[in-house]
Amino acid sequence: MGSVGAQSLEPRQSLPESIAMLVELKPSNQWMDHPIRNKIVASEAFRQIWRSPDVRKMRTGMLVAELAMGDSLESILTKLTSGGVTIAVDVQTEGVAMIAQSESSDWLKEYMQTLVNLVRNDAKTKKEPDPIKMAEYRGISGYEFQKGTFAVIGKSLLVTNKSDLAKVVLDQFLDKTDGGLSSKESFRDQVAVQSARPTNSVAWAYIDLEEIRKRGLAQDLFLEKAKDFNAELILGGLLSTLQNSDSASAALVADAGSIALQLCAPRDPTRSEEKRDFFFGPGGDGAALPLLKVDQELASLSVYRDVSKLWLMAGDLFDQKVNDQLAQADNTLTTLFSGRDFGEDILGSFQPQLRLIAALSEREAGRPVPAVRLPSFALVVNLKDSKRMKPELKRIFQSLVGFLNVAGAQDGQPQLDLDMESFDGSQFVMARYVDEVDRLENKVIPIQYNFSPCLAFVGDRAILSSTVGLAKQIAASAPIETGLASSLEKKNTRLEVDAKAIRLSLEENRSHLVSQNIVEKGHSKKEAENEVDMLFKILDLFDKGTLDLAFGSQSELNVTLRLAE
Amino acid sequence: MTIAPSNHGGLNQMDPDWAWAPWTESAEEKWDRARVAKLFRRAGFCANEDTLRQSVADGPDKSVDQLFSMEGQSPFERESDGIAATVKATGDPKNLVTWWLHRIVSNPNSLLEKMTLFWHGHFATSAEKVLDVELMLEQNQLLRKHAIGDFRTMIHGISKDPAMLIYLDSVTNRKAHANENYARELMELFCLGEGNYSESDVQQLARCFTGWEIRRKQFRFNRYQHDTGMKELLGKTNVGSGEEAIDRVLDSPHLPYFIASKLFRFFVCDEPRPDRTLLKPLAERFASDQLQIQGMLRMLIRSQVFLSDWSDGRKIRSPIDLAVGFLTTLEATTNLERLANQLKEIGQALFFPPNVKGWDGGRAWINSSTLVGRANLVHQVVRDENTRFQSGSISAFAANQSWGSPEDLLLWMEQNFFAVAIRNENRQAIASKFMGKSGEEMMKEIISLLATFPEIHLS
Repeated sequence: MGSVGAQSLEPRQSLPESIAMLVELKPSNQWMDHPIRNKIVASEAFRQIWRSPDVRKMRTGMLVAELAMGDSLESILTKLTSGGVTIAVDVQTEGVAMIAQSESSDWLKEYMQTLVNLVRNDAKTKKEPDPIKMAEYRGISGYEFQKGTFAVIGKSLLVTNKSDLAKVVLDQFLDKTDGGLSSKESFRDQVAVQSARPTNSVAWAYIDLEEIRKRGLAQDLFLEKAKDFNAELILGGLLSTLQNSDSASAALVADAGSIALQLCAPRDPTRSEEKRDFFFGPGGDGAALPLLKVDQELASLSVYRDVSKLWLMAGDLFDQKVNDQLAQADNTLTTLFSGRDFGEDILGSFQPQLRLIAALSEREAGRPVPAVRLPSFALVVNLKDSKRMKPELKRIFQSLVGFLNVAGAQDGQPQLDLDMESFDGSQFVMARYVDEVDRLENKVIPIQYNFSPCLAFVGDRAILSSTVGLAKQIAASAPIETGLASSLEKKNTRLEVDAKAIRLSLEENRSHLVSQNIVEKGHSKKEAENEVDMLFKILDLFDKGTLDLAFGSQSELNVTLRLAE
Repeated sequence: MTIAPSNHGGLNQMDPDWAWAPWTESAEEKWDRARVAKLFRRAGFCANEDTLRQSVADGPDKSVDQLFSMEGQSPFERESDGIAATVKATGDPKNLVTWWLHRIVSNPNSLLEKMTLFWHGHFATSAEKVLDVELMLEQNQLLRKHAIGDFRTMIHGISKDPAMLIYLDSVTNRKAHANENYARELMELFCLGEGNYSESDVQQLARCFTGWEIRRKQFRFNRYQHDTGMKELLGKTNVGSGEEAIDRVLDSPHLPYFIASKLFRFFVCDEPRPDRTLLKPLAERFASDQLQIQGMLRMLIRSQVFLSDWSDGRKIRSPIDLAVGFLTTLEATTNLERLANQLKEIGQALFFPPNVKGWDGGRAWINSSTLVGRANLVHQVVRDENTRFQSGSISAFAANQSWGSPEDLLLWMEQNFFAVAIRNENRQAIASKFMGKSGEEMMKEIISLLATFPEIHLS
C-alpha cells in the first residue's frame, strides 16, 4: 500500500475520458443522517425486514466482522465515505472503478491494514495460501485480492476490477495531463446542467450515450424500428432522446419529505424525427392537459400522444412483425367501425391529448359485490368534431354491448342491460350486468360485476369508463375543454399515483392475494399473509408518486416519491 | 389351478386367497422402509422422512388405519377454501388445477386425494367443454365427499351433476327422443363395462332419464318431458324413474367386479387385467358392504398382492405421482401454477382429462416426448426460484437428513422415492462424477440426473 504525500485522488480529474458512466454519491453525512433514511429505518416495514430470518443471519455475519474490525460497520462506512464515493464504468478497459474519499489518510491506512490482516489470518486458519498479493505501479503500492486491485492515495481508496484501469487512473493522477474526464465536453455540459439545479442532491450520475451507442451496448434502446407497440406509445420520445443525444445525467434529490430522480439530456429539435411527431407534437410543442381529479383516485395520467399519427406512421416506426399485427388489427377495427378508416377517421377524430384515470370503485346500493374487487378506470379524449362523432361512437358502443351479450350468452356469462341518461347537456350510454334473480347464497359473484361500461359525452369530451360511477364523477368534476385544449405547463406526460388508495384497493382483495401467494410461491398461509402484509407496510411508507416528462432545450424526466407523514 | 405366491408368474394364476389375505411379515418380506415407502407411494403421493420412520415403527395395521384417518383436516380445509374462493372469483377453469394441486400436495389425508383423483379419471369430465369453474369445483367436491364412502350415493349424485351432464351433451332429455349419451356411459364406463348390458338396456335406461335437465347450471326434473311408461332394464320389469333405474344398474352382479377391476389397475398393477376369479373376494366384499367403498379399499391396501414384493414396479408413475411424490419426499414446496403447466405438457392436466374414458394410464404415460418432459419437470422444479425444501435450501435439508456424500443422497432417494433399486452402472456413474463434491449445486445436479434414470418412472 502506498501514498503520494498527502494528495488524494480527484475522481473527475483522475478518471479517463473513456468513462461511459459515472455515479457520484455525496459525502456520507448527507445521506447517513438524512431524514428520509431515518424515516425508513423507523418504519414498521423496515423493522419487520430487520427481524426476518434472512436478515438475522446477515446481521450475525456483520456482528462477527464488526468484532474483528473493532468498529461498527455503519461507523466504518461513514468514515470511509465521508468525502463521497464515485463509481465509474470505463469502456476502454471494460473495467469498473470505485473511489471512496475517507475522513483521513491515517484512518484509511489503518483500516486497510486491519482488513488485510483479517483476510490473511482467515486464510491461515483454513490452511490456505496467502490470498493477497502486493503490487506496485510507479511508486504507488497496492494489493491484489481475487479480481480486485486496491490502492490508497492520501484519503482516497481506489478499487478496480481491472488492474489496467487502476494504472490509467494512477497515470492521470501522477501526470496531471489534460485528458481526464473533466475535460470531456459532454461531461462538462452535464456538470453545468447539474450546477444549475438545487443543491440537495445526494447522488449524481453521468452517462455518455454516444460511447454506449458506439460500443453497441443496450442495443434494444437504439433500434431504428421499434419491436414493441406499447413501449413506443409510452416511451417513444424518451427513446428518441436517447438515440439523438450525446449524453445524459441524473440526480437523486432528497428533502425531508420526498425523494426525486431527475433525468436530463440535451435535446436538439433539429435532430427530431418526423415519425415521432405523434409524441412531441408539431414543432415539438405537444403538451398534456392538467390531470383529472376524482375521489379515491389511484392514478391519473395525462399525455400528449397523437395516436392517429402513430397509427399512420407505423411503417416508419415499427418492425415488420408489429406492422403485420397492426395491419390485421386495422382490418378488424375498420370492419367494426362500419368501414370507416380506423387510423384516419376514428383515431383522427380525437384531439392528441389523452387522459386516463383509475379510482377505487364505489359500490352501488343494491348491486351485487364481486368476490374480486377491481378499481374503475376511464379514458377521456376531446373530439375534434363532436357533432359528427358522438352518434357514431354511441352506435359503436351499443353494437359492442350487443356483441358481448351474444358471445357471453354462449358461455353462460352474465348479460349486460343497456340504458341511457341525459342531464345538464351530458349524455350517458351505459350498460350494467343483470343480477341473477335466483342466485344461490353460496355462489360467488363473478368478476364481471366490477364493470358497468359507460360512454359519456360532456361538451366535446368523450369519456369511456369501466363504471358508470366513475364516468359521472369525471363529468361532474373536471372542467370542460373545448377545441384544441391549451395546457398550463409544457409537460408532455404527467402521472400521479396515490399509494394510500393503491393500498386500499389491494386490501379489499387481501384474501385473494394471500391465496395467490400460496399457489405461486408454495408458501404456507402464514408466510403468504406475512408477505402480503409486508407489501401493505411498504405502501404505508409512501403518500404519492409523480412523474413528469418535458421537452424543451433539454429532455427532462422527473420521478418523485413523497413519503407519508 | 393356483400357484404359490413366491412364483412371480402370471397374475391370473395367482391364488385369490393368498392375494387378498392381509399381508404378513416373513423372513423374506419385512415391514421396512421400502415397504412403507411403497404403501405411501401407491395409496398416496409418497411420504416424508418422519412419516416413513413413524410407519415403520407403527406396523402395517396402524399405518393403514392412519391413511383413512381424517385428523388435521380443518385448518387445511379452511386454507383450501380460501384458494377455491379466489379461483371461483377469477372465473377461469384453468386456475382450478392449482387449487387441486395445492390440495394434493398439502392435504394431510393423501389417500382421500388419491381416491378423488381415481374417481376424476373414472367419471372423466373436462373443463374444456364445461367451461364453468363452479360446476367443475362442485363435481370435484362431490367426488371427494364420497371418494371413500357410499358408491350408490356417488352414482346418484353424479347422474344429476350439471358438469357431467353438460360434458356428455345431456342437458336436455325429452320423451319424444330420448338422449342415450348418459345412459350408455353410465353402464359402459361408470358401472358395468362393455359386454355386460345390451343395446336395449341403453334405450330403456335413456327413457328412464327423460325429463332430466340442466337449467341455469342446476339439475331439474321436467315431469312434462318424462316418459312415464314402464321399462324393462337389465332383465327387470316395471322400472319407472331415473333414480329407480340407477338402483337397478347398481344391483347388477357385474358392478362390483367392474369397480374392483378398475381399483386393482389403479393401485396394484397396470398389466395384465385381473380375471374374475382373482377379483372375486374383493368384489364380494364390495357387494356385501352394500357398495361402501372403504371396506373394499382397506382390504386392497392391506392385502398381500398390494403390499408384497410381487407388485413392486408393476405400475408406471402418473405425472402427478411423479411430481407430487417428488415434492412430498423432499418436503418441498414450489410454484404450483408453473407445475400445473408442466404436468399438462407431460399429459396430465387435472380437470382436463383427454376424453370421456379419462387417462389411459400405464404405458401410455410414457413416450419419447413425455420421457424428456418428465426429466425436465424434475430439473425445473429443483431449480425454480420458488422451490424450497423444508422451507429452506436443499443443502439445509441435506444437513437435516445427514447426507454426507453423493452416495448418501442416492441411497436416501432410492429408499424413500424409488420403487426399484437404481441400476449399478447408473449409481456408479453418479458416484464417480460427484466424488468428493458437495454443496447446493451438486445436490441439484444429482437430483436432476436421477430424473433421467428409467427406474424413476416405476411405482
